[in-house]
Amino acid sequence: MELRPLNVSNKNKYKTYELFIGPNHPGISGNFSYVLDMEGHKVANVTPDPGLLHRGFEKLMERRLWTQNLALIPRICVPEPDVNEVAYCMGVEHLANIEVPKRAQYIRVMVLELARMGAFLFAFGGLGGSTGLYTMPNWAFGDRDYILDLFEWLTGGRVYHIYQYPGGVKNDIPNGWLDKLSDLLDYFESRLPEYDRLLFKNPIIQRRAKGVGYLPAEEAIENGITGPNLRASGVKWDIRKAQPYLVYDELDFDIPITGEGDAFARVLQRRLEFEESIKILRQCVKQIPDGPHRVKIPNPFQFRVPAGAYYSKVESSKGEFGYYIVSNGDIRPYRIYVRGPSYSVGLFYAKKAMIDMRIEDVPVWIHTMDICPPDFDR
Amino acid sequence: MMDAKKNGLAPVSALKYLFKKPHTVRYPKEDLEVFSTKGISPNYRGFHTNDLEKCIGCGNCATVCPASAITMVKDEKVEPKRKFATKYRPVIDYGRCCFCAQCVDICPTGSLQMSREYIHSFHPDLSIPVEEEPESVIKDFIWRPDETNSDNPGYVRVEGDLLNKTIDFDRTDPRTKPAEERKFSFAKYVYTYSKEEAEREASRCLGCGHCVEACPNQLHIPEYINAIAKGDPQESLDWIYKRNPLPLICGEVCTHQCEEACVVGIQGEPLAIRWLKAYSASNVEDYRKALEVQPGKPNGKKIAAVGAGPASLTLGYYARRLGYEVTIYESESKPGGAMMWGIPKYRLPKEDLMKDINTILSLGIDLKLNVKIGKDLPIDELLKSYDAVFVGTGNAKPMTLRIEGENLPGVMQGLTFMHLVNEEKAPELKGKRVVVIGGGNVAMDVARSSVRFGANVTVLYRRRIVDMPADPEEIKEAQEEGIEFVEAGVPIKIYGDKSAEEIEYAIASLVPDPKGGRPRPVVDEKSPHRRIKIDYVVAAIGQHPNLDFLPEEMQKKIGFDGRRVPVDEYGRTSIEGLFFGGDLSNRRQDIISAIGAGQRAAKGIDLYLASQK
Repeated sequence: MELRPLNVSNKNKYKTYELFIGPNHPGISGNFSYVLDMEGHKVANVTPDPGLLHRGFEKLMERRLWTQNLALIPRICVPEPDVNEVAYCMGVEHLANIEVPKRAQYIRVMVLELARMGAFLFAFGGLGGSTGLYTMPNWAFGDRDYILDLFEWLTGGRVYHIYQYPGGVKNDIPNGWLDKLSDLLDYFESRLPEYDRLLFKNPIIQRRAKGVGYLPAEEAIENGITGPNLRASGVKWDIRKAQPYLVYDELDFDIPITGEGDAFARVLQRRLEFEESIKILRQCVKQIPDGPHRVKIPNPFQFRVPAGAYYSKVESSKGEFGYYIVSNGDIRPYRIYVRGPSYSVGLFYAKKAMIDMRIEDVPVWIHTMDICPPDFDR
Repeated sequence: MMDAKKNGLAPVSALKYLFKKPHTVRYPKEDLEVFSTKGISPNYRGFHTNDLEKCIGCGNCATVCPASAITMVKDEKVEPKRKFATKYRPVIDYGRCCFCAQCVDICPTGSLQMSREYIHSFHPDLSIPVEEEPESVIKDFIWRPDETNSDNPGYVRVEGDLLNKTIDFDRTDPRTKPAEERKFSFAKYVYTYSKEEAEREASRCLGCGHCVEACPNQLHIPEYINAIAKGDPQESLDWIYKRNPLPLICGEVCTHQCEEACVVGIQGEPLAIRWLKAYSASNVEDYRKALEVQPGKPNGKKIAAVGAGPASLTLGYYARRLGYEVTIYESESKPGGAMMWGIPKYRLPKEDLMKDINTILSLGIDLKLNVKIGKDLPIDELLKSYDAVFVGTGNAKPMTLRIEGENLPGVMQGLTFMHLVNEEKAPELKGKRVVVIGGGNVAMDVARSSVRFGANVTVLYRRRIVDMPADPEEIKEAQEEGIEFVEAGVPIKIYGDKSAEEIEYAIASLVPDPKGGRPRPVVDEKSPHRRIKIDYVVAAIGQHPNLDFLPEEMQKKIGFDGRRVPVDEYGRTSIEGLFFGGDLSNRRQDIISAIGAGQRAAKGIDLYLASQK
């Protein structure tokens, strides 16, 4: 049974051979595979092969209540589920005209930034893993567990937090949580130089990553690539600054720019933004106001969102994460479209970028682009 | 920015990690200072716990579950504490559960919680053949949560934490006139909801249908409330009419047991189901046009109904829709029975009453007014000339006080008084002192009507105010209107030469009921006696059916004991073709029960006549 269309270069049997990368390959993140046609050690053609993870989220959402979807959407991005929840809730709140209390907005910023740091640690580990430096993933995932601990304490769940709710967040911050958060930020600041020594200043890593997978700025914009990948190509675009949502306009932070556009710049970009996240979190700890953490909305069975359409977006660790929500005034959404940041990179740009790439650079490219396959399989 | 740092000694630097703390997760796992317990964080979402006695089996957890992991399964062993609780309890399939805690957030009683237990270990028995495996797997994955893990609570919604529940607990009451204003007029003092108010109130409904069981006629309550929330009063009325052809009357004066059962009322205020019904009924101008109701195809059978009260009118409506020819005989000059003569205008304006009744009559029901069965027309004749006869004459014989002086002029019965009020022939009461004896809704109607005529009113009740059978809001509003209540007051004697002048009553001591019911008032020698000057005494202590229009042997044959007519589910008696319904056979004497009896009798008559063919 052949489900995939035959590759063009496949016809020439004497020149190329087929190579699977994924779905359970250490060099790939998640259940997803690329089918590479290799000419020697060079990629001649590439066919992304998605659909091995979840499927049909958008359709499922049309059959569930507005609030029931909150248990489903975190699964669209496993390493950073909170962007889904926040973007969805922001869209619903905009359509339903719900004013979210200031405290809830601060909590949301903290959750988003913590999730971003967790996802960046994944990316650092990914580069280490794909180049054979296994200390890096061990360190990064170990440190990420501290973030998950904080999430577990705040939300009751470790990976899927299911913490946001239209109108605010489900629980207020527990006593002592902010102190623990400050301690954790201190810890991360002390860890960063060690990461630098291990990964970023490592001559082998630099050799493997520098100059690999060069992405020119124009091409990035053309292909809808956003987030740190775009900024690594020298375009200063961050939704948090350009179109501030939540309370990002009340917070003081920079958008660092690397600009080289290669694989190393993309990881370094994340390393620099990691520090900015720490900066944002420190301000949040100081500035968070007292008050209610949510406003009441009608119960799930009667929560009707007025008819309309809205595209809400947040800046995730991988780029612009958006929810296009269409409501016809019913208790269920009429249509939801999820715009994941990896969709444009991993599915379309990959076909262009990987041509003529050496086989050992493919995992480096995948991990520095921080491709998260559940995005495609939504 | 990050230049490569070449250092020949770099591999040696790894040695320093030998002396560092191992890289394992330390908090919250080991943060005893903060959590005071070992293990995972305090509000972890683990396996469920459920207080099976507190749980009422409403099924909201099962409905809200995004993964359809919860099924409500009957458990014969549980003994629920609350009234109206069912025996169904949630059974959770942990193969589907995603631990999102939406069931905990919605649980109206707060019985469903989550624990910090999360380790799922099961031991498949390898000796079991593959074909039988599903059985054993089900046992490992699907179970009914009880209080097993409740000593290790995780994600809990404590009682009183209303903000974090996903139920809206705040009731929107309709606007009312203040007591100072309303006590001088017979005009209706409760305004109907505006569209926004009604939709806001309707959107609090969870749709669980727990109220349906409590309703004497099992109206489609969740459906009609949902239609209001969608902004469609007409659809709502359509649902109401399926089981109640008197929507506006019930919307205004129903005893609303549904609100007692409403699950939102367990932690907050119940939905105003009654006012919502009034909203949808008063927002449709012409019921028949809106609902496109037509009488059924004539089947040539004739039914007679005695008494034009709610039971007969309901029977008439549903029988007419089945194609029967219906004639209603009424002894008074207007239809409506107790609704017309017993309920004061400020609660139920006559035009609202007639709106409902006229809709029913417009289906082609023959209403014969001023005909007294037994006097103008014997019942035997009815039984001969009609295929079936329904009797719904209600409670017409008042209970007497059985004290000295109760036959003096100035001493009246509650229903007689209300009849006079509704005929606008009430005695001059301005500045007079009125004592009302009793604590039911009739007593409240008498007292509040008297206040509107300018009287000083005292209500004498033999138990406490909380024991009164009248609706609590009626009592509250009566108190607001300046009516004085005397608790544990038992009338002893009425004094007077030509008319009642003074009443003597004793303050009884209340003996608690060992079964937990209402306390029993006991008057003995030690009870203090008091006397007050009065102009009128109105006794409203209950009524009995009056079946004097039936021949005595017929009364005996149907087994009438002076209080109630024994009937079966469909209102049948031991006389063929004779059906009874309404207050004279119902356990509860209210309009909605009478409507239920009327509808069941319509079905009973239909079944009976179908079997005659």
